[in-house]
Amino acid sequence: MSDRYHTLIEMLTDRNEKSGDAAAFTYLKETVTFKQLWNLTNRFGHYLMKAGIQPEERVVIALPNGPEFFYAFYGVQRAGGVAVPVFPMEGADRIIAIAKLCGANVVVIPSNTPKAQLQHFKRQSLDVGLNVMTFLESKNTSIEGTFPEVQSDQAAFLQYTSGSTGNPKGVILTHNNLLTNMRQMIAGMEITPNDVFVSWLPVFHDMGLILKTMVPFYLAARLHLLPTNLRDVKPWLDEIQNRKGTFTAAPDFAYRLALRKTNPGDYDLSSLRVALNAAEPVRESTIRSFHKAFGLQNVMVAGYGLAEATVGVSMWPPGTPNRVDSKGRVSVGPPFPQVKIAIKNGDQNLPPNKVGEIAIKSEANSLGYFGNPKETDKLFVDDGYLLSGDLGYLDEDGNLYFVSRKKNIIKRSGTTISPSEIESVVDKNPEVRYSAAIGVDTGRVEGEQIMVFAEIRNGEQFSQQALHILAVKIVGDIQDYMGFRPARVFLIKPKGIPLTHNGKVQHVHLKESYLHGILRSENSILYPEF
Amino acid sequence: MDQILLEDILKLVELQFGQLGIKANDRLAEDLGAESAEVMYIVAAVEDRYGVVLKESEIARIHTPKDLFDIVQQKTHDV
Repeated sequence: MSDRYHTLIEMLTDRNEKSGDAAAFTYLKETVTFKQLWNLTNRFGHYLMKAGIQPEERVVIALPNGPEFFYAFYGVQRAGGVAVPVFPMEGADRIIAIAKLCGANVVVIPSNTPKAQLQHFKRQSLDVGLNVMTFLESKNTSIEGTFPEVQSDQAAFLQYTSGSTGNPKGVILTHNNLLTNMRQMIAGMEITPNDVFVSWLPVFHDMGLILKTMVPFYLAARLHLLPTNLRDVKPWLDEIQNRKGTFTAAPDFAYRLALRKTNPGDYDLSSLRVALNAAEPVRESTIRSFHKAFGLQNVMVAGYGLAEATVGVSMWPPGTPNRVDSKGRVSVGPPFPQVKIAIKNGDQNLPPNKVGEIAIKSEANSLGYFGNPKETDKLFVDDGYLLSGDLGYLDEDGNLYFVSRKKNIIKRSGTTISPSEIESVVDKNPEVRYSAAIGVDTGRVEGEQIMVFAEIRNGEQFSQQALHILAVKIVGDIQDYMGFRPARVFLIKPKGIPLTHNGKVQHVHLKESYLHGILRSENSILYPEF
Repeated sequence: MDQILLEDILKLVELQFGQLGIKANDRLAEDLGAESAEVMYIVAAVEDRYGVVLKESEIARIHTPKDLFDIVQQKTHDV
């Protein structure tokens, strides 16, 4: 690895010059070369500049997996701007909320958005001074142009992540952060240009974007990208088999679905060198069953990372047997090269085998949260270590074990969800007095599920039908705003949600009450009656 | 054992999808946009409600609320 790119733009320039005719990626049946990627990136970058984008201006990108994402994402950087990818399925309201948080003036949405919907979104955005555009609108723009110089310490993109309270936070990732973390992961996972990447992970989220698309671009390795479709895991396994994929990655639940929804005997996945299991707690049983069912050995490895350290922090070395502790926790391995992990209790470093907060020191550590100095201050301790908000420990050999989260957040399908964001949607209903959202893992295939509890004012005076209609509306509201539905919604009597003296929801306490059937036995649940 | 009503199953599906007016033959995946985990959530709710346990092969046969109703009814009769 002699190339020491300073920016992602430099990386793409080099790819265009040295491997322009090679495939940058295939998406479904479409193959895009590095030359096409570069030209269309320039075209969109030029278009953005004509639209008045200024250096370091944020541009929200609400695009799903597919070629347009890359043209828009890198086009923003080519124009000297900062890309802000968001979950494209969520409602216009949340996209506009993120745009306001990061001070963006432009939102890019899919070119194939139905016309009526596009017009509606444009009108809605105009009211708040936002310019909604599509990649297709740049079709008559020249690929030639003068572009601003991009610096390595400039922000390339903001990764929005949900904290336990308040607004989502935009993790600032510079070009240098990204390239540093790519080098760390390439060295740690021994990735080479001969690796064949297969991924359905969302490109608008860090693991899918950085590890699964930037790394292959960096090395000019093959990348086969699929739509993010959790309804059907077969295309993923088909692609690994047909393309002889060597490297895939997914959260634990996706591998469990693969075991459950397919007939493993139908597949030959022997080309796989690494099946990274990360972004949510790794179950030892998943690794064991996956290896057994598909006839593999030491292919699935557990990893650990977080957006604040760019993405990858540690991973178990592929090709070697996993290590599991006495409580069944799978080790997420030693840190990647040039990354240091310490276990902290306040400012104090803890010795091996003591559980504390996982802290990270790395050149890939983010500078902090965009426009949020208060939260940024809380992120670092005096010796420059970044606090992850996760609890874990290191064994005598320096291998990390994840124990639990310190922060009250929910992990859904590998992404982080803030309970308070869901609660604020539910609380908008005038009948709701208080609400609480918790993540519950009942050990089933789906992993952590979102359960919502809403206290209803004078709820006992409602008919069952009225309660049903209200509960259905709450689910619909969450779907409209967040882009997904909770697993369960319960309407409960006032004072059913445990609060602290200061009136803060006690999520852990609520979870215990639910899991032990206390809410039911105290007759607190109004609806549904099961 | 409670008697099983199609109406109750439909309510449960409505609650899952946040939509009123769901019909017995609506397709969970194609018409209602169910993710695979969501079918499992519905199954879990039905299992809690009626005290039955559905087999993997039975879950695989559920494409509409009516399919779910038929399977649960069959199972409670078997008991």
